[in-house]
Amino acid sequence: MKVDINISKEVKEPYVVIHTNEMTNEISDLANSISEMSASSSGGRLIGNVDDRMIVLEADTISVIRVDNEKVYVVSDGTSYRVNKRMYELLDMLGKDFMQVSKSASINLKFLKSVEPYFNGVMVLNLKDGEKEYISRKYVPALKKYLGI
Amino acid sequence: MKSSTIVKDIVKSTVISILMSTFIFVIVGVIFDQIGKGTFTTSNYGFTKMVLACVFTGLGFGVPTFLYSMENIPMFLASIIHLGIGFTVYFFVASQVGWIPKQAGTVASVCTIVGVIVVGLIIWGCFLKYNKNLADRMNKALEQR
Repeated sequence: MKVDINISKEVKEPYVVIHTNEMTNEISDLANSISEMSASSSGGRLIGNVDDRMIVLEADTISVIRVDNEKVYVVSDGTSYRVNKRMYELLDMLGKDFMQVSKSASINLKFLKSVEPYFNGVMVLNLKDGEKEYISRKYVPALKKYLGI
Repeated sequence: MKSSTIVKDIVKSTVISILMSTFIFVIVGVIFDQIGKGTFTTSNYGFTKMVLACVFTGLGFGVPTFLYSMENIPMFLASIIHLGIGFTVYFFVASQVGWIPKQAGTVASVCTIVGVIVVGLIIWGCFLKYNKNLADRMNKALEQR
């Protein structure tokens, strides 16, 4: 793979553009590695895949992380993006605003709007962007602690 | 969820269920003793059988709570299966130890069954109320942020 580095005083923030004729595993891994480096230095950014496009997502736009069939998705601005990371890696990466609420979901606490009781200690979390997620009994104590109850 | 966590949750739920069924057994026993003016007696290991019935009832309502840990089962379905198993086990053991007064006629038996279901729904309602209060407190805490 050819690598070009363009140094210019006009560039205010470094950015990476990958030119390719098709999406391959190598390209995907490269993008994720760059995303990971960027995340560790800039407080939470990651690459999301949707419709064969790769989008850089800021942590504070992500409301939910979901696991479906062992694939991890994040919801940002109403769109669900596939992410090539495990949920615990995302939780480490995205910081303390994110809390796991069930085996298969985590939410951005800044998006939490209201809570509704459901069955048997399970509750529904309503988020500011219209998303809903269930918090299972196991994770309710952590949410209570966060809310100071 | 880890299998050790699931087992721990099942044990906890089962112990709570056994304690609850035993507590209800004691309260109902006291009521019957009062109504019968102190003549509430058992024979042929009847008391031991009733205590064992409480244990089985606790197992019937406690063990199926693992269904709520299985996220591929909808909560409503898990609740139906849970209560279905719980009440089936209860009515089976109740008929074995004489909690359903078959000798007193159909009306008395039906009244007993309805009474048990009502008590079950009241307990269910108490848990719902607790969760509703918790949700209200959480919403208040969210509003204050």
